[in-house]
Amino acid sequence: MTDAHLVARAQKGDVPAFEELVRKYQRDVYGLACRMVLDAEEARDLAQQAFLQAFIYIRDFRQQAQFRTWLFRIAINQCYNFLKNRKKFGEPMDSQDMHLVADDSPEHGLLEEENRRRLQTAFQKLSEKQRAVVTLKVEQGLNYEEISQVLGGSAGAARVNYCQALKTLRKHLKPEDNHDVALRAYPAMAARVSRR
Amino acid sequence: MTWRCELIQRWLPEYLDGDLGFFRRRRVEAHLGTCPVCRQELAEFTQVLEFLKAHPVALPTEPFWAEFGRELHLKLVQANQTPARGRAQIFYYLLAGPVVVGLLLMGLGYLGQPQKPVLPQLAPAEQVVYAGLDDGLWQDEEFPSWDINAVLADLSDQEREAVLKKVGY
Repeated sequence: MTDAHLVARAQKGDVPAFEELVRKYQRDVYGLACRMVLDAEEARDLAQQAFLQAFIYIRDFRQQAQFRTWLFRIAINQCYNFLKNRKKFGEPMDSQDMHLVADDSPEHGLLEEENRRRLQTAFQKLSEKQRAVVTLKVEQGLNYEEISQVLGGSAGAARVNYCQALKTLRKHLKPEDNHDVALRAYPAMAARVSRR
Repeated sequence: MTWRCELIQRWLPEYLDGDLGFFRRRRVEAHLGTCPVCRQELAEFTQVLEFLKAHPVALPTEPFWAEFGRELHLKLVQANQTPARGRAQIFYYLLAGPVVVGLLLMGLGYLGQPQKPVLPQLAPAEQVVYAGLDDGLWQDEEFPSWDINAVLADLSDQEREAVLKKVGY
């Protein structure tokens, strides 16, 4: 059944039809929230909240845009509100870092974990809008026009944000070799430390 | 880095996506053929995108989604039981008209002014006493009381009328 049919049924208060939509998009919305807030537990709550808001306001959805982009817009707004509150009131006590390794791929091991940690650190350096643009473009496959529908603003602004985000990520994903630099700067001390 | 490199580098993300038009793509390709700096930039952008695609968000397993669906189902059912927002809104819109008209009428004085019993507005006590003195109803220090109602009650109709007329009532 297409999104349009499911949405039409959900607009009449059909919960199973809406749950069909939830099952279809729950991974996308959760992934988006994870990238935005970088906290798995909060991402779960935010995804649920986004679906709940979508259900409450689904009668206002006129099917002029895709249901998916409309849902992403709701999810992004939830994330913005959460981040705003976190800035205002500080980190919650029970915040939980993202699962850095997928549960079904333990064989990837330490290198995979390290890469994901680097990616998470690099994402922390991005602004909220840049995080959203990169996630929507690279992971959800939206074009600039669709991104502008989700985030507001123009397609050109989305393009600029994407470009800036890639530059920032490139800067922070470069391998770290600061330790070598530190040792080279103080050769005598390095020698003393190594003798001990 | 020349101004040309800056321009070309601005187009690199779109070049990677294949979103660039024919002529711009040709320009980028021609420039990349001669400029090692921009080639390096392109290689780094490609690496970042490949890195991002190789490390998507680690999605949880099926039990997580089952629990997610169960919790959300409860919330959805609860939300579905509350009265429809649309209908409630229409009710408020229908109610808003009469309320606004009522407030306007009250503001203009057509409504809401209760019919108060008309009480005699007496002049201040001193004025009544001095008016009586002037008319010779009582002499100095003979006036009966500062209680005007009591004084007026003791007077005859004619005298009361004269006093009230005198004080301009």
